[in-house]
Parts: sequence; C-alpha cells; structure tokens
Amino acid sequence: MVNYSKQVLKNGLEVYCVPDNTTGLAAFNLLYKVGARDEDSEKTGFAHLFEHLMFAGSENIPAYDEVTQKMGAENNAFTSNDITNYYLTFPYTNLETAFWLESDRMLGLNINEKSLEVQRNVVIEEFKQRYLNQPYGDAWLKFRPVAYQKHPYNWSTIGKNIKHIEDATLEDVTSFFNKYYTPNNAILVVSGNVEAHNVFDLAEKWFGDIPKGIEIERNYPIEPVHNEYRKLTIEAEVPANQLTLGFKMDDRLGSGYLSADLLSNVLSLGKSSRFYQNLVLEKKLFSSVDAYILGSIDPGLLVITGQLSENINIDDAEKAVFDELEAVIETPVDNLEFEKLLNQIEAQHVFGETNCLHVAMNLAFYAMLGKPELINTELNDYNTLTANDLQREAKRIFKRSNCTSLHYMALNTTKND
Amino acid sequence: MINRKTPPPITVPDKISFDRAEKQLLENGLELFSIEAGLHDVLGIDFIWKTGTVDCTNQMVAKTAFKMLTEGTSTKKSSEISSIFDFYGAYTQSFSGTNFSGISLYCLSKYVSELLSLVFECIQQPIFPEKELSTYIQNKVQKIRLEEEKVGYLTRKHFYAKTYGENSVFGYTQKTEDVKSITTSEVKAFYEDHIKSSPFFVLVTGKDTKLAIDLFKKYDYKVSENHKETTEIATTNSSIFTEFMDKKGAIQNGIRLGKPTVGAKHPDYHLLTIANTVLGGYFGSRLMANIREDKGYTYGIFSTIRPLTPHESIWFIGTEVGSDVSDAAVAEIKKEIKILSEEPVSLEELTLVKNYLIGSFLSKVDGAFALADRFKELHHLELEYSFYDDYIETIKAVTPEILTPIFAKYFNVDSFSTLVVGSK
Repeated sequence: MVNYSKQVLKNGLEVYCVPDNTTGLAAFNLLYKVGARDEDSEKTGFAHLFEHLMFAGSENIPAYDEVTQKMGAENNAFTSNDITNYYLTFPYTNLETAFWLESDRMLGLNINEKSLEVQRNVVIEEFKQRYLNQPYGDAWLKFRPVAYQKHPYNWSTIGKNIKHIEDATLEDVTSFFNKYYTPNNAILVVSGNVEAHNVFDLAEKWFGDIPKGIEIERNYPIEPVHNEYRKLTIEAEVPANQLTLGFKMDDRLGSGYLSADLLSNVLSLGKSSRFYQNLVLEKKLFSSVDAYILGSIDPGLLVITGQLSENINIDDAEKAVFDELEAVIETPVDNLEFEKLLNQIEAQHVFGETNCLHVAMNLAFYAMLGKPELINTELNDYNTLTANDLQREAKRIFKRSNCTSLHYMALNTTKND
Repeated sequence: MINRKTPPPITVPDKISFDRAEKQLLENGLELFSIEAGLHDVLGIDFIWKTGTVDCTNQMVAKTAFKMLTEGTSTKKSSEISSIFDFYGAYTQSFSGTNFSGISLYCLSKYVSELLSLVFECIQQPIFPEKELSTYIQNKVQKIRLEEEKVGYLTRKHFYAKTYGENSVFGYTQKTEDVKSITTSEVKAFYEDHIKSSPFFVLVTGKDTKLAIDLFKKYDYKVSENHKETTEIATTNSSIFTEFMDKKGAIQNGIRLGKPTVGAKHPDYHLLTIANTVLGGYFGSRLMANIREDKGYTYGIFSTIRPLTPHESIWFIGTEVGSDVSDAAVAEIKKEIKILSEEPVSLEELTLVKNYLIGSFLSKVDGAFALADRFKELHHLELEYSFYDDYIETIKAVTPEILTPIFAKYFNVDSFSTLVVGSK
C-alpha cells in the first residue's frame, strides 16, 4: 500500500508525497508530459535530445551536475514515446537543494551553441552505440514505421535518422522548452524520508512563482484499424535469425490492457511459461523467446520476439508461435495457471514497492494518466479478471490481420565454430 | 521573488548507520547470516559455496553446475520445479565466480516454506538431465555468438585475456567451444566434489527472516570428509601491452586502458577508490567532462576498479567512441591522467567527490537487498564491516595533497595497457 498525499499549485503543478522513514534517502521524480509522440515528424529525436540539454545548466545554476554531486545525489533521466522523466536520489537532508535545482531548470535554461553542438554529438554517438553498432540494434527503427502508419509511435525516441538530430537548431530548442517545460505540464513526486507538509511548502516556495504555460492540445493522429498482415524482412550480419511479431492492443486505460499484460505473462513469464516449455525446451525452435507489452499510453503493441535456433526455418517458427496463440484462443487458461498469473503480479507489485524511487516513478506515471489511485487499486483490478476475459482478449488481438511481422535474417548463416 | 542565486545549504551525513548481518551457528553446523530489514513482505536467501571456476579444468563447468541445480531432481522434472517457483511468483538466480558461487531465492515471505523446501531438494538431489543440459548448451552458444558481435564485449574479453592469459582464472571469458564440450559427467563430478557435501553458508535478508531461519534449523546439513577443498588461487602473472584489434564494419571503436592493481586489503585501496572516482567514477569525472561533455566523442566513459581477490584488483577505463576519433580519445584520456598525477585537485572538486561518494554509499546500503550485496562483497573479499567504516573515514579525511601521489603511483601513464577494438 502506497500512502500518498497530493496538492496542486496555482500554476498547475501537481505535487505528490510518499513518506517512508525507514530509508536515509529521498527520491525526487519530475515527469514532463512530453515524449517522442509530441514531435514533428520532420524533427524526430527532439524530446530525447532535449533531455540531454536539460543537463547543460539553467538560469541561476550554470553546472547542474556539479550541484547534484555536491549534494550526494545520483540522478538521471529517460525519454519514452510518451514522457520525459527526470529523477534524483540523495541524502534526505538535501531535499531543498533538489527543489532549487529542478525549479530553476523549469524556470529557464541556459543553452548556447556550444552546449547544443556537444549534446548533438553525444546523442549521435548514442545513436551509433545503441542502434547501429549492435546486432539487431536497428530492428525497432525499422519495425515501428511498419507497425504504425499514422500515429507518431512510428518512430523511436532516438529519432528516425541521425540527420534530424544534426539539424536541430537553438530556435527549435527554445520553442520546445517554452511549450512543454511548464508547471502545468509536469508532475512532481517526492518519496522517501520526507514529510508531506515540508514537501508542499517547498514546492510552493520554489515552483510557486513559475508562470503557467499554455494548455497543450493533444491531437495525435489516430492509427487506422490494423486489418492486414504486414511483413518486413531485413538481412544483416547478425549471429542468428530473429523473429519479432507485434499485435495491436488497447491503450493504457483501455478495457483490454490488463488482460493483454497477463496474456504476455502466460506466454513467456518464467520457465514454466508456454513459450519456454514448448518452443524452447520441447520443440527447440528458439534459443530464447519473450512476450511483453510496450506499456504505451496510446494503443500499443503486444510484442513477441525470439532468437531462432540454428537451422530452423523462420516460417516454421512463426507458425509454431501462432499455434501457441491459437491454443490461448481455443482454451481458457485453467485455474492453476490463472492463480499463478495473479501470484506473479502480486510478487512484482510487492517487490516494486521496496524501492522509494521506483514508487515515485510509478506514481508519477499513474498521475499523468489522471489516475494516481491506480498505484494501489490496479492490483485489485488484475484480481477481478477471469480466464474468460483473457480468452476474449486473445481472440481479439492474436489475429494474423492484427500482426506486424519482422524477419531479421542472418546473412552469414553457415558460420560454424 | 525568492533569491535563486543563493543555494540552500547542503549537508552530508556525518555517520552512516545501517543494519549489519548477524551470524549464528545452527545446531546442525550450518553457518547462517541474517539481516532483518525492510517494510515489505519479501525475502532474499543466498546459498554460498567457496568454489567456482578455479576448481574446474573447463571453466564453464562450475557455472553450468550451479545453473542446472534447478533443472531436475530425483523426484521432480525441470518443468515441475519451474512451475512451483513461478506459481508463487518467486525466482531463483545462480551465480558463479572464481571461488564464490551459489544460488539465490527471492520470494514473498509468506511462501518461503514451500519454496525453501524445493531449493533444499534442488541442492541435495539434482540429476542434471541430458535433455536440459543440451538445451542449455545450445542456447548458451547462441548467446555467446551474439555477445561476440558487440564491440564493448569484445574489448572487455580481450583486455582480460591479454592481461592474464586467455585460459587463466582471471583472463578467461566464456568460449563457445568450451560450452559445447561440457558433458553431464563433468557437471555431476563437479557437483559431487564441490557442492553436494561441501560446506556452504546462508544469508537471509528481508522481512520475517525468522520464518526462513526456522526452516534452516531443521535442514539436514551434512558435510562429508570426501568433499574437495577449493583450489588456492595462484599468484597471477600479468602483462602490460598495447594492441589494436580489427573488427570489420565497426562504426565505433571499443577502448580499454588499465592494469592490475592492489586489492581491497591494501592500505591504499580506499584512496585508490576515491582517486578513481575523480578520474572516471561518476558523471562529472574528469574523463566524462572532457571526452563526453567537452568533445562529444562518446555517449559514455568510465573508470573502475574491480576486485578479483582480497589482494588483487584490476583497474580499467572503458569507452566506445566514433572510429574516426579513436586516437584522439586515447590521447585525451592519457592527458587527463597525467594532469591528475601532476596537479592537485581543487578543494572544491574534492569536496564534490566526497559528497558524491557518501551519497552513493547511502544508496548502496538502502533496502534489504542492497544490504545483502554489501555483506556478500565483504565476505567474498574476506573483510569485516570495519572496511566500510574505514571507507567513510578515509573519504572524510582525504585532502588534495594526499591524493596526488596516489594518481602518480597507481595510474602511471607509462605502465598500463591499451587496447582498441574496431576499425582504423
């Protein structure tokens, strides 16, 4: 159970506090409601590039990282297709310093040509390190545009290509900041060894005078109904063939979302899962195969991806996966398997609560959805599902006509050592 | 308007107190450590043996033996075992190093009784079935092939191999041919000699540790006289080298610089840790400030000290940079090291590093599982908790004048190895 309290400042900043006096740390999580889906399709990768620039100094604090280090903090940030999330953990006595730092970044940045130039280069190296210089690193760069045709989920957070990053200008940076980095577009969660009244006072003191920004209209292009089997084949020098299937599923608050999550667990969570038992151990088609959901806010994907064993035909492997999906559609999971699913969810939930930063991040995300209470009630929502709900959802999403398939083929399949 | 120019005061804790493991010797002879910590109903339980790669001819055998403990017992098939762990939302993890190996169970406290009895069975009666072993081998080989396509992995592998010799305990990295040659009889023999009736100890961490401790009291713990003692790790031979390795088509080069250095028992070790942090151990380090934040050559660069035995560690700097700036990056790294061994760091920079280290230590002792990790680290390196007390005291007392000779002594640019993997 996460006991949180909430206040909203006049400028629209939502502030949450989750005290836990058993730790010597405090966690400070500031979520901005902006991600890759908010980018212009001709200027992709921008939300993530901007995340880098947020560390380049602000109006009154030229060296952000110097302060975080001085206060004994560990800090980082990530950008997803939906959000940009900044976080710090530090000795709880330095809580006010975190407020000072983060409110100053929201108030105004201090970006110049030099810092932009350097961060462009860093991001380009990140692009190379994570997406180009790794086997299968570009799979998602190529998969997204096939799986999504209209919705901006059709590009990755790193961007469509390096050129978009190279072309980013100071003017782009400034207008992006002014639009999205505003109190009414942010959610703050403070957890750990803190007291709620102190957190709310500090929030008012440091964030209270930051002017409200414009209300952002969010009209993302709606993805047309997926009604055809789409297939993409890539050939590259990789050690083994890889199969990836994506099935369109409900949005984060959609009625089928939790069922789809449990379905992905039926398929691949743990060694007793169907994929591991049947496709890896029994039929030896894959050396590893996973199913997971992307967890995106807008309608997302249930993804199945696996590395094929040697000398296995990829069409046979894909057929075997569809046979497993067919089994879930045909027969509801039995009581024992269903109880396992709920126990697994409960364990994940309890383990997740052991870390104050993890709690802060989760609460911020639920708050962004407009339903902070889900942090406590969602476990119960899982418990009210039935095997029939799962079967119905399986029927709805595990259709060939709802599938995007990527065959990532090894050029050099005769390699022997 | 508030004054944003003046920062709020910063304090760092003067003393760091945290829960330490309590030791008990059970009547059955089992040595058990426990840390009762945390608000949540979870437990982590580690079974730890003093054995590992040092006790095998084929170094992959130890890892495989521990991994395969949960793959079938005299009464349960592999799938039945995983069904039970999964049913309760629990998971196990095996680990295997040079002479510190074992298996861990993570579960909700309320299910510990059902789960622990299963782990007992897995370590007392495993059968290492052929089918599961062959699947493990096949999949492991594929994973290694995947890793070997990555520049970062290759750089790490060759750095160890070149430093210590590719078949020595510290120079060895998993090889596909060794994995393929593993036989059931080798794995069984390792189990019989080093796990089955060999002494181990247990660490129980989390909430309601008593539930687990009571189960261990009833455990049929037997140590046979026939078990083999772990092999003493011989003094290592190491070499210093400079090498370039070609990796076709690489668009980034992997870089490693470093050399063997003193172990955690050495009086300079804590100072070395602090010096390493200044150089490349945190986001604001000299290397990050120059190679990433000033030049933009890389997404990241780090410097680390990895303990191997109580008396030996290896220090290295690692990064991946655009192939066209590879030489420039190596030159800049050397330049930064040279500056640190000649010019004392400012008091301001050192204060920042001290605070960072204390804050980061606080995270390292936050929560039940972090506390377990600290205990395991101490045990592995044959240290007492006073090691951490000394560490905090050393951080508080260090001055720029104390640190400069440490750079000169341990990071001398003329005496370390350089490896670049990629394209010219």
